[in-house]
Amino acid sequence: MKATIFVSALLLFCAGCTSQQSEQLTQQQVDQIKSEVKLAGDSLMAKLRRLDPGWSLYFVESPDWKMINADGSHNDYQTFANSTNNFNTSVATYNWATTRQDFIVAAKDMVICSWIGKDELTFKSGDKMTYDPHSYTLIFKKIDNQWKVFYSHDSGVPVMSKVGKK
Amino acid sequence: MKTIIFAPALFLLCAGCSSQQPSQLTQDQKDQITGEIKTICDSIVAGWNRLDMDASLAYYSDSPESIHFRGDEVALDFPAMKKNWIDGVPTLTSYTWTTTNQYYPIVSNDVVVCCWQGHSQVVMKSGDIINFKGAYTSVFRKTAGQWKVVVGHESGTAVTKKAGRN
Repeated sequence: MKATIFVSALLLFCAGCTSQQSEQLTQQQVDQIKSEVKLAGDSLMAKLRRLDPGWSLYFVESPDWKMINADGSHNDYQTFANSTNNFNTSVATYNWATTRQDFIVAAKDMVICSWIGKDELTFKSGDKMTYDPHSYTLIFKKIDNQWKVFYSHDSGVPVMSKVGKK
Repeated sequence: MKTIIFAPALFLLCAGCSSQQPSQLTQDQKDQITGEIKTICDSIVAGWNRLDMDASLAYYSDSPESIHFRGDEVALDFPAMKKNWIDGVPTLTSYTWTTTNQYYPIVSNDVVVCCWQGHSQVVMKSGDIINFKGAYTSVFRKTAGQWKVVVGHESGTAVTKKAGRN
């Protein structure tokens, strides 16, 4: 009897552990996670549009932090944090329009977001910069019940329109 | 007695089968995963450098969730990306990618990111030479025991030296 129970428990253990990842999440859980991350991304963009400095709080310093820019350069977290101040003081208006957004739920607290859209910045100098398209690969991690970005890679070609030039 | 045997087995089941986040992986497991991904990334680059795109494409997923970003282009699905690579080969004399920096953030035990930074030189059959400096993000997902790229993202700057010009 002991052997039967032990073998059954062992089989249950082995069967249960063959797949340990997102397959364990129900479709309802996956949908819930996607909607949470979408909401976090939308809130980030809404704050950017309002030029609310709180947008930068959606990014979090992490040992795995990486920010790859459209020109192939990369920023460490401190460089990013410093650049946010520059953005907040030099930009007059910011607009973003999403054209596509996909999510890969890697785990219950890790999501990869592919985000494509068009953005337009107007600087206080009057110069304008547009990216169309502008593509992002973002990795969100849930920390203290909030979704935060610790990995960002974007690409696109900036088109500058200098004030007074046509 | 049954309870005594069943309870530890149930504990083992629950402990072993909960979704493994990066922080729950042992250093040995992380090293193992990193080693597997590094080997694949090196094989992908070796394929590019031989202009053997089929060899590199073997490590890319053809699942519907696959998405690839290339600079200024809109997102490509796997068939479009594959066509892009295959169609490009007859126009090339050589392609050489040199990695200067790489790292592998582990998102979960079946999702890992490979981040390459480096530069490439493309010699076209026309004689033009393109020097590219930039970065690649490849998101790998392990499915049926195999690591495959499901998200690819490239960004950087390219300078073209036209044939016959100094």
